[in-house]
Amino acid sequence: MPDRSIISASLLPDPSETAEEIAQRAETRIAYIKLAPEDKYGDVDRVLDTEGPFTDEAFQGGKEAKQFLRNVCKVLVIGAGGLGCEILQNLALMGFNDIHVIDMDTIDISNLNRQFLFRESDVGKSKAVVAAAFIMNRVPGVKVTPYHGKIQDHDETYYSQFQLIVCGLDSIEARRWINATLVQMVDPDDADTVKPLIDGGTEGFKGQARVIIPTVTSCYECSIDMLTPPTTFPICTIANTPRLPEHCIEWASVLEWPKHFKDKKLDSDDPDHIEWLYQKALGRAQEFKIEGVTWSLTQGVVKNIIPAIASTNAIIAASCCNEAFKIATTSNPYLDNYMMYVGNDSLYTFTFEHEKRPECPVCGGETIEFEVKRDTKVERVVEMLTERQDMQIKKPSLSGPNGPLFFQAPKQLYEATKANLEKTVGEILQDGDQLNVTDRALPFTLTLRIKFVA
Amino acid sequence: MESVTVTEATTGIEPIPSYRPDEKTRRYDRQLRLWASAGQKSLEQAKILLIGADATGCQALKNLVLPGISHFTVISDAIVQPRDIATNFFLVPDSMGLSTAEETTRHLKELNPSVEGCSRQADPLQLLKDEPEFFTSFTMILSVNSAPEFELALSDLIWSASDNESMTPDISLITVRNSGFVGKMRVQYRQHCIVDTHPDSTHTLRLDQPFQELKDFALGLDMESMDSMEHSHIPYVILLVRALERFKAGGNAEVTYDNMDAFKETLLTERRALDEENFEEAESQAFRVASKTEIPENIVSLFASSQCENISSSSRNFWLLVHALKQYTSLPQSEDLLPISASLPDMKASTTDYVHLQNLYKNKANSDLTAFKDCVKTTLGSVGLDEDAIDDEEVVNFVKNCHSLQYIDGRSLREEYETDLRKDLISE
Repeated sequence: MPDRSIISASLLPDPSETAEEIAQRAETRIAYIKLAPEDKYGDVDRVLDTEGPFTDEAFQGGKEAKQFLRNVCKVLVIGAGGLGCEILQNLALMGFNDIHVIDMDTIDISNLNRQFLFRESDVGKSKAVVAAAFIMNRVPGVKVTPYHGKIQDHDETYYSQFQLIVCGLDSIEARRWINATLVQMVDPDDADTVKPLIDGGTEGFKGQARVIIPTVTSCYECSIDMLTPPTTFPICTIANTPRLPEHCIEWASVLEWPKHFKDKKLDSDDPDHIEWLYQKALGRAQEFKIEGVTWSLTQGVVKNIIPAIASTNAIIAASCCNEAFKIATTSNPYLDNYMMYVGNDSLYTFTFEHEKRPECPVCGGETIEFEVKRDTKVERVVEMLTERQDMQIKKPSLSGPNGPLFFQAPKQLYEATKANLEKTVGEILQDGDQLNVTDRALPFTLTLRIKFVA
Repeated sequence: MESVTVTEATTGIEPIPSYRPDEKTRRYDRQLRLWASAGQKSLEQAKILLIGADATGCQALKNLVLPGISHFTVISDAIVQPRDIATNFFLVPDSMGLSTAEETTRHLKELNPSVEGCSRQADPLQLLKDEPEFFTSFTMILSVNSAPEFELALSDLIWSASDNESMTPDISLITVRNSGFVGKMRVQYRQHCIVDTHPDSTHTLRLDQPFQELKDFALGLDMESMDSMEHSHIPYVILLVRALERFKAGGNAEVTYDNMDAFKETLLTERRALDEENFEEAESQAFRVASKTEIPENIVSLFASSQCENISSSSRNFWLLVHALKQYTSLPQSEDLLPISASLPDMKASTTDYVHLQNLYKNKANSDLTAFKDCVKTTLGSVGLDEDAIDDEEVVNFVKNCHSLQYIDGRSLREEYETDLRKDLISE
């Protein structure tokens, strides 16, 4: 029996609606919810009531699958942005009735070209809260619980309440964190601790979807070396020989901003901050006769903006949700385990299996061997680590068997260890020693084994 | 320097200056960074008809309304059933018993206030008989899960309405069918001409056959008298042009992948110190000297097509411009190549050298553009059109993209239905 107070609470009142009209809407909604399930879910039921040519042997189908999907399965959506809005919509329409959503962002006008659960009047509000309210208002009977904050605010107890996690994120750091957390949660004796993670990502006309079954399939960290390294400009180019408009913008944001504003952090969402950078960069560009510094480019470089469109998000989110549905209902085999989609030139998709990396610091058992010459300075080791495609770190701190070797922060530890930068590895470490690396981007301690080479 | 507040340092009180993006640009920012203002302009001319207002159809339309098409119409004679509400995000319990076309239109319109949306409650098949001009008033038609007979009749209408010569009206038809976890999509158009294909790179360095001004500048440099700072900042383009001259003087006709090692040796004779990064860069880019600059194959085939040969006053601008481009390549100025691109990749260089080099390419590009514009005028005149019948912006944009033009020839649904596919496969 539908609970009237919950139904009424899920209705978003239209400003033009009278109290009576809202009450009427609630009645219509209750009448709809009371309809026999087959009258509403007939279309979805077709894949749940019948076995297809690819159906898994374990498929029970019918009542049990429906019961799990509609009354038991609790699914977490991470991100309520371009992909998140689509994912929430799809999951709700597929019949997932208990959905949670996490997002730390607020709505910006530039979201409205694709994040279709938001309107102009929502600008400035929490994405998670507005998205949840919109879905509950639009799709009768579904419960969406928002959390406006960071994924790191929650611990394993929180994540263990879900059966499935679907991610629509734009941050590598967040993906690494949730991946490592879910892998750590696995208890080999308890199948319920294995939480499938479905991850989507897009960039312009390109996208990807993947299924990670923690400890069973390869994890996010296993293929971290596949990521394209971010474009960086050498400091000497920025400082001395700018050639591109981007160099002038980097000069303004990396070198000039801290000089002028001391401890004030640059906020790339603040138009006044962008204005200042734009003027600075423009001045420098004119001085060097460089063309092409615009407001839009300044914003793009400073915020590292990636193009995003509604249609690619829809395709990738649909793919992620199909996998979530197949995993939850066993109706069809799920993606094993990575699909790339390229829509730039005609249309191309390719599916392949990412393999587990035995020395994966998250799910592998083996230690990574770090080959280095004895006379290499520690300073160079730090640099070498940031260059490693399979590590993707920016400011690593190092510890050896006898404690800290070099720490970037806090200040006292930095002061105490910075002298080591000038020493050679041979002076402070033995062949075969363990070197522990920590970094803000790493949700774990990376352990390397030193191997001296000639 | 003393710390100042951001507000003090900027002018927050004055009206927003014109170089700042307006509200529309801010709304569309993430897509403009993909298809730029030219792409947006095309999109904003699209008038789209949706036939089949089911979940799939409405989702497709949603993804077109959001980025900002001009207009859409949903046509359907269906009445909303509970199952539609359960699957279609653009229907709610209150929609029950009402017109599917009207209800989905109402909800789709909310997505973007600048898009015009209409609904028509009618049977598409009947309307096709009674009012065919309704269908041909759109620029694109999406037909989702429609009956095959209807789709074929619609495709015939659209195909015959598009004049083969001028391609007006140019209507594309997308047919979609899906069930469970499978689906298919088919696009019909007579031809699709794309000027701005947004290639990853637009550089045309011509290192194998440097243009005169580049050669003169490169060879005129007095590298001997440079200090080590200057010497290690000579752009690799210059180093390669110089090396090519010396290599040729040494009796080699050209650089190939086979004599690459010898060419690199020649290049490095000018290196002073092992740590000169510009030489390192030149070495890694040396393969560019061995790759022959020529007119890309897809452009050559455009030149050979009958639409390029047989232009008339009703030809599309695309074909008139391709014709002019072909004329251009027969000018001595062209050296049998397409107009050069003004863009230069970043490279290890001092600002002055880089900007100077950039200007060499820019000036050459401008001079090529001027020559091309003359060809456009001649071409337009030859078919009896005004010499400024194609506006300057379009001409400039065409030249900018002339290396990566794309042309796709389509075929009709009927042709596909009636072709013996097995025969096709065998002949291939």
